[in-house]
Amino acid sequence: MPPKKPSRSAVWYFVKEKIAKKEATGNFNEALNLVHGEWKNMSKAEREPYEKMFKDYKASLKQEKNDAIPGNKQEYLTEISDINSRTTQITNDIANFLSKLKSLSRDDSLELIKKQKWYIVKFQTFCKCEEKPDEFISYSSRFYYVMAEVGAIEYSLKDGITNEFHAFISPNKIPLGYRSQCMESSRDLHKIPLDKFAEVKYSYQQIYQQLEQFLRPKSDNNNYVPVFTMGKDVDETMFGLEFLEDQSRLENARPLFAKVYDLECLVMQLAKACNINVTYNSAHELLSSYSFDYSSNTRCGFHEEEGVIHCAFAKAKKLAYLLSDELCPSYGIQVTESHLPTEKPVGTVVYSNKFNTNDQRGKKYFNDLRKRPHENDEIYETERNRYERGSSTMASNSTGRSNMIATDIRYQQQQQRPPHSQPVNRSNSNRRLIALENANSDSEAQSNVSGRYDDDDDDDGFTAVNKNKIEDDNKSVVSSVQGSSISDSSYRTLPTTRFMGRGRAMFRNN
Amino acid sequence: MSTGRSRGRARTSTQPQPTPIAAPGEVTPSPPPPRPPPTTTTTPSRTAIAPSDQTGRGRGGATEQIPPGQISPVSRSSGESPPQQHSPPRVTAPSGRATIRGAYNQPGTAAVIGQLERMALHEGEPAEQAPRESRIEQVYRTRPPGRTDTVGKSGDPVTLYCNYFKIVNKPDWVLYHYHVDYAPPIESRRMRIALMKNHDALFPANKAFDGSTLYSLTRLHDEVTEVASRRETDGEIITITLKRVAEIAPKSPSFVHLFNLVFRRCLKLYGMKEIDRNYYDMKTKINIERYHLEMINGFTTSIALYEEHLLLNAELIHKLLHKTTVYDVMMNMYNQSRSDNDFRTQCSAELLGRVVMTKYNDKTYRINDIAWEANPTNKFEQLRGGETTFVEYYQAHYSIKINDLQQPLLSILPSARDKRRGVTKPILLIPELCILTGVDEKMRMDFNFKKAVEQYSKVGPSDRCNRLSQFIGRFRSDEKVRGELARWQMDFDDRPAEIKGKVLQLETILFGNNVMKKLNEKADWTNDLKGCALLSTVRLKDWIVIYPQSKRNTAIQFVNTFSQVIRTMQFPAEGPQEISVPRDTAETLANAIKTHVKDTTQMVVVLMSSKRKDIYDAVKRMCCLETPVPSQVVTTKILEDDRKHKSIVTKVAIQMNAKLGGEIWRVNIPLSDTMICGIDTYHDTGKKNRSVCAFIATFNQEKTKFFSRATIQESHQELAYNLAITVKSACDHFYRINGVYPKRIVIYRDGVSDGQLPLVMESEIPQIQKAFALIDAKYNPMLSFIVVKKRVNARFFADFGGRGLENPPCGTVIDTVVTRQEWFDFYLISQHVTQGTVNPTHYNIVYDTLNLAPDIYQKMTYKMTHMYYNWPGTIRVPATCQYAHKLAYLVGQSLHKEHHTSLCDKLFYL
Repeated sequence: MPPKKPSRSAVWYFVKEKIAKKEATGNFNEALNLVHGEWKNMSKAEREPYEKMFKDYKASLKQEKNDAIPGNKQEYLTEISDINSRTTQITNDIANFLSKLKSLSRDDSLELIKKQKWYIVKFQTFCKCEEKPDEFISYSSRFYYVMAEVGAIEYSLKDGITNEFHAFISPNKIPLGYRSQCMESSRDLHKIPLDKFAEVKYSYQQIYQQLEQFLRPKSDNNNYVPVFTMGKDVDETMFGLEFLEDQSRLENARPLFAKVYDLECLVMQLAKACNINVTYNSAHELLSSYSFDYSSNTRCGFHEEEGVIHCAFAKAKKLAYLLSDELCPSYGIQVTESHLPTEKPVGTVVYSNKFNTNDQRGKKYFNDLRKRPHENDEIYETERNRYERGSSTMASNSTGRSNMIATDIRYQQQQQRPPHSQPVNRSNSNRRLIALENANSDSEAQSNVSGRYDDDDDDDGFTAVNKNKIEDDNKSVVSSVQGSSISDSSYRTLPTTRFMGRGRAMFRNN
Repeated sequence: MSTGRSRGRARTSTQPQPTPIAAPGEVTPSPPPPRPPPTTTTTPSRTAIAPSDQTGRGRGGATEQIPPGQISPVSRSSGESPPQQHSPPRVTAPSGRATIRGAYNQPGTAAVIGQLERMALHEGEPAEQAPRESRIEQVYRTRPPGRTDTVGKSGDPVTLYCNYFKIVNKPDWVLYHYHVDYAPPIESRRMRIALMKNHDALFPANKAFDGSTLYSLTRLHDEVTEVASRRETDGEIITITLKRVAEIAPKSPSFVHLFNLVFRRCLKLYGMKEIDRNYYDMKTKINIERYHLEMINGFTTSIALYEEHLLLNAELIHKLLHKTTVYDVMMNMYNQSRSDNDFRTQCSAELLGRVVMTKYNDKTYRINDIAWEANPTNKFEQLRGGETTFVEYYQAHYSIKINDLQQPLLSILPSARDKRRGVTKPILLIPELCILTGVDEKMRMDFNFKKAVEQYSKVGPSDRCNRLSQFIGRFRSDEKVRGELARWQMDFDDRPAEIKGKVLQLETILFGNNVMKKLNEKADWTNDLKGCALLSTVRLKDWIVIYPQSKRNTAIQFVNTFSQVIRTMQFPAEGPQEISVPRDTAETLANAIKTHVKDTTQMVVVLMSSKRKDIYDAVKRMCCLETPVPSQVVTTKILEDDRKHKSIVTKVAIQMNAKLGGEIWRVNIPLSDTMICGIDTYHDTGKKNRSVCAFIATFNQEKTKFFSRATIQESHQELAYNLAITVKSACDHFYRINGVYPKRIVIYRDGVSDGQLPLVMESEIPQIQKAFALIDAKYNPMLSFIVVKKRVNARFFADFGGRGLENPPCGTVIDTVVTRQEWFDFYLISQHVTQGTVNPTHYNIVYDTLNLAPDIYQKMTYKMTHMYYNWPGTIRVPATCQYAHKLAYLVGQSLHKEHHTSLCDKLFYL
């Protein structure tokens, strides 16, 4: 709860003014006593300006209340604007970088981008401490973290993961009061023991040296290496790198880590390079997908054995996989083993599609069952198709990235469908009818799912005006309710440009 | 574990306070306000750490885990007092909101003085912790305008007793209300009261004082009286300023406040001990020797103005206390451990995260760390300034001698609230003075322990009512209490109030093939369900069963039994594809799902040999997010129990049909084109400060199919944002199925405490209306918004002339006497319980353009409690709320993301 605002009134403004003009002295109450008589004798007109100030103030309070989201509103809002300004800057940085690449020659620009190596670093920590201990106060990160492990990969669109690095870090000092949190995260998440962990093989200095070796293989290169990580982990990564650098206390250390960038921004820019618009939020959605969380052989030995998915190494790799999965098709890059994890199909089909019915009654029941048409059959099928149609046109959905806005756009698209496809199942007879009607188009729908949608669009019963209106509505929902930078236009471009989710399907077919 | 309902941390702090602004016109000629204590004085250094003397209420652990409790309506001022000068009760503060705040506001000169004074005090003064009793909570008026009839007419009348006692009072006195200030300011309520005690002579008649507000029958001659007291601890002279603010007549909210004060004092006089704002009888402890525990009973009481009368609500509660201190536990471990290091690790493992209660002031904390380097002879800065050692501090303040001066200290991180107060460093506590509370994992798993506790804590209706009335009887006849009450001319009835309730008609359940079953009094149709076909089914053609290789036999047995049980329920399923995986780890299962789930797959059944949460999470994440398909996880252990096998498979089959989008049964709810919704929230474990809000809406005319959405919101709040978009999508879905937008919308909102009511009304209802505007500018369906409250202190007992009192039958509605004048509310007992006392659910209709008769609301609510497909019986809340709870739980616990949109119309979260 924010501190209570001082209550005010017209008198308050009057007294304040008097104090400002030095016509009254002392604190507010003393001043009030001094000028109270004067105020009393003032006419209505004389009081008017103060009344107005007060009214304005009241209005502003009300406005504030309406604007703000109750709870930690202030913090939340500043955080949002922080993120926005930071990401814009980062996006610009990356854009500049890419355009520099491009400027070399127009034809080769995409090729250069493909070859460009990116570094993704992910730290795993025991806990985040709200207050930095004194010796770390100069660090540029906002919080203090207790380190557990680090995973890093070198990645290019063309060659996928080309190099990888992983190390456990012995935990740095746990500030008083945070031990229970550390123990909880060890127990519930990554299972890395707090004390006496045999897998910690290197000192801070060694880890730093290795990491430097990894990030800057050519020793003559003195440039900053841009490091990428998920937006939410930027602070953590910044602390980790700074901490390692600090602890290694190298003489003549060349500045290595100047900036940690949001991977989301990179995705946005890489997509933009092949003319696809992706927003920060959809990039975030994409990178937080669970698709590769459970892939085999992505974890470090320790976590593989423990059987937990919270491994910094696996998390860094996962990000690379998601990048390959989403971007390679757009760049026309054939994915290889270093782009995506090799997954062997798991599970043997033992018995297929039959109940083991030995008794007569059972046999009869199931025979009848197969013959008898089921009332829900068609309804179910058509409903299914509708969803499939919706989701394949909204390709982002087919890969499971459910998003509220995406949904609403999909709904809106469905609203635009001709009226006959809006089933009205008030009664059974009605249901049948519609089911039949839709059943006719079933085969068609299945054979050419996305084409089917286009057809729908053509015999759209709505007028153009209507359509615009719905679009507008949708926009206002997005901007007003979500309050974020999402503009739905980017979503609309997704289906047509086939940006998301195709890569995985392609790979599976191979 | 407090087996009673602890009131939790009152969340009323979020309630917007009407800013005490003096309306300009009201600054009438009045004497200049009396000079308040020097406003420049700030409380001394705020970086101090005090061992919890002034921590306000107990914080941490126990209270935090408990969902927002019920705050009994009147004069339960919130635990988290807003940093606000102690303002006189609102009776003297006519504000812009007076109209909705209650009709008792009486503007007057005194009021103006009050305003000026407060206005002055706020100026430039740092936020100061006000003693918590100083605010009077007025009931937030939510009765929809124009609503006059709140009493339903249908149902069989039934006579009930309840745990309310009538207050009999005809006082003819005039009460004077004083506002008390201290200079220099004093935070501790105890200290404030102690200092005031020296001046009892000022009030020969009587006084009641809570630290900042003083009521007395004595009229002090001057408007402002100043007296001085010497503080025992340091001999400082404290000036006390008493200001007369108002005269109070009986029946005003201040009177209710006074009565609560007096009553609490009586409880203290009667020898009860206050722990966490409830009063416990320490004389009748029950020892549970085996677990080194003892249980105390107590009462939570509150007095409030209900429909017509002032009533005293008293409810029996229990609390478990450990006998062992943290020091004992540590010593025990020390003696057993081999090395120092060993001991430390063991201590950390055992104690961190546990909730302890300090012996000296009964406050609770969660241990975050152990400060091994510290000991009680260390110095710390006190909150009110100055340094002292722990030993001296406890000697001075509590006359406690600390024995072991070498013991390490327990460290507690300051909460957000502590930080606001200026406590930034960890709070340190002495193990010797801390008693363990709560129940650890080991005990929770122990069935015998549960039984041992329930033996005492589960009290049947007859017993409960007797104990309550005995207590009230004894209490009332106590001499000291009588004396105190007589001085205020107060008295109360020692017999529980009698109410006329109504029992709604028993419902008829419709199954498939038009089979109808009239329900019995227990509202349980487990047996009826056995022989009946499901209401509607989905043909299950393409589904897979995944099982670990080692459980092949279980899987075969499962499929066989499945093929048998589906015949009676006429669930047209064909054989599944059986998939065997080498082991059931998270990766293999996730991978198997990825490999074998095709676009046409309707259902995935996973047999799991363990109960591991990460594996379950993996399956659910794959099935709800990556490859959207309804899924059913069954542990093999439960299938291997031969006795239960068949009934388990039956339940699984029913659940599968529900998950596929089929219907199991229905009740007849006649309102057409109506969308009935439920909202519930869950606080995410994965990331702190995140919560999930689930929204469920019916989308067919029969109200048997449910549309679902979930939103994840940052920051720890109970309230639902993004509601507009959610409601819109539900309406759109309704339209797609029915061809019309819903004409009537009923929303049941669960998980709101009284304190949050205004927030809910002010933020959620506009959001919903916004959703309508988004659909179409002209679209304006009838809406009613009903707040559902499960944690209430009301209990009802029915007397059927049999063996003592019984629980009222299901379908009992109470909408008189104990409901509120300011609300359109009712209690409904929809569930049938076999042991203990039934807990009624409170429904408060806060927004109502639907304008149905009270009967209809009651009936509709009761009908909706029949619609939870996982339970062939009635449940405590409308099914939509329970579904919302389930969904929010799934998303919060496992998914951490909203489910895939193609699952929106299915009950995949069952």
